[in-house]
Amino acid sequence: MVQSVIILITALLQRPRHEAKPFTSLASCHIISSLDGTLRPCHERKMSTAPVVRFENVGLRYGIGSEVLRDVTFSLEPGSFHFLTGPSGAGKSSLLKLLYLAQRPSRGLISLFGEDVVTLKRDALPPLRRRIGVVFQEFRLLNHLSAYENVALPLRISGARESEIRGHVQELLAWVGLADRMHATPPTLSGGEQQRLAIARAVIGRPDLLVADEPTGNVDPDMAYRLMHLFYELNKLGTTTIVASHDMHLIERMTNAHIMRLEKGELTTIGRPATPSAYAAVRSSSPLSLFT
Amino acid sequence: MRLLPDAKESYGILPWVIAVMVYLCALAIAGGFGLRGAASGWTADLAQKATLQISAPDSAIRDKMANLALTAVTHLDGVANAQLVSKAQIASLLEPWLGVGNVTDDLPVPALIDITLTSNASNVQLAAIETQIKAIVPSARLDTHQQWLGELTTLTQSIGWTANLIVLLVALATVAIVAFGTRGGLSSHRPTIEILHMMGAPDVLIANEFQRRFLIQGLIGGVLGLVAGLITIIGLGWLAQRAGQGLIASVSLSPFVWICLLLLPVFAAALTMLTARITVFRALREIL
Repeated sequence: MVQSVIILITALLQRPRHEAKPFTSLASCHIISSLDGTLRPCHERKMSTAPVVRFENVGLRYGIGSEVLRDVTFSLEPGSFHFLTGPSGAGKSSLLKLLYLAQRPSRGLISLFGEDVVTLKRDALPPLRRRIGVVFQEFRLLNHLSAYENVALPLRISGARESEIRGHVQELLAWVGLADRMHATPPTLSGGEQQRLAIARAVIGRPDLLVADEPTGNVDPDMAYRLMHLFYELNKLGTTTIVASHDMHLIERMTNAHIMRLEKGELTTIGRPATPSAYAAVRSSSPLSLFT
Repeated sequence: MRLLPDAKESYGILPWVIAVMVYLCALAIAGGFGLRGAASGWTADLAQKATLQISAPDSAIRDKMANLALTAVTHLDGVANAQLVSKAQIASLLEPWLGVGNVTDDLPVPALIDITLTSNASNVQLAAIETQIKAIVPSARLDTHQQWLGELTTLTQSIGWTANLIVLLVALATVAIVAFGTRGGLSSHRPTIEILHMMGAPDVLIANEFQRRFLIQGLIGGVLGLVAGLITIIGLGWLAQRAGQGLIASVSLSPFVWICLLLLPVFAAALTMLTARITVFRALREIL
């Protein structure tokens, strides 16, 4: 009883209060660039040279089944953009689950932001999770909350102040073209709108790592291309990005990205972009105003 | 902002369950303490009393012996006051059984002497009183109520312990029900909880959300149960007062008991909240 009271009191005292990372710079950076028609990457984040993600001989099996991932070894450099591709059932989603800390590997070493997450205590995981933005394949929006509240959620979890939250969320919602749908709940939104909402929620906290599982699976090619553009915008601000997709057409158009291919639980190829300036090609082939 | 969707089936019933629990607790507490209080009142009243009973076949001899005994007993140690119970009083005591007018002079009714003992009178003194009176009036019998009081005390104490046991059992049942309810709530909100968890919400944040809900539910149920309980207690008290002026009128609850009763909803809410909190923490430990 006494113990429970102590737990309760300490818990009430420990409510996390963090400053929200200003999102304004991302949005204003974009506004400036759309005014003069050129893109200016704003690298305000100090780039560390250590890899953001490092996998070494990672294996994963569920229960006593066979391994769904075998000897997976790779690392993601800060600010890099990766596609993860491969046939269905190759283990893409399992690999992403390891990345967004929903699963621990059966063997091998995984480090995220320099932390060995295999041996890290459970209590130490939430702060790491807050540095990761996730776009789930099936969106997984909270249906009882408005679009605004859904996007605000990561900031609230980080303990940001209400005044900061309002500005950031409204700005980002406008940015993804959902300004007038702010008070709508997810079930009343179209598939494309839900997709943009899920992406907005993933990027609102300006994560250091963005993990997206088939984020363009349910939308038409045009929308898919527009959403990829949004990821590029965030990537240019320093967010290491990994996108699972088997839309080869889309991946071919994104010539700037690294390509990782997974087959039967093994990483077979890690391709490098042909030209480092491929982003310009993306821009020129996409004259439409993206987020208005 | 509400992190979790609104209460649905699993919560709707909880305030009612808590209300029933608090109601039962209130009755058990009031019954247990009320009876114990009443019993100690009776004991205090009766412990100071003794009755001397003198019987003789002839009423004239009986009255003479009674007067003899009365003068003798007044001067004994431990006796504060002694009084002969008048014929009219005896008749009125017997009337309910024999009928009005049937208590005639030739009825072999014993004479009664009401003795009030000094507050420090001991059992030794009572025995001494009896032997000394018997030496003068051999047919005298001293009734000290001791045996009856002992039995009454055992009974009321047993009822008191049973009441305590009921309170304990009700509390345990409440914990079990709340734990089940929380588990149900957790599984019906599992998708939401997983999302919050994946976004890096610490367990504390999710547990706070649940405990806040259960605190409110517990308070609502507790107040409902207490109101019903108070109505019952006050109603029964009023009926008791009306039924037996002399005997049961001394059933009253001390301020301590009233405070306990009024704090019941707070205890119920706190118990509900803590149970929910601990259950949530345990359940969350099962996911990475």
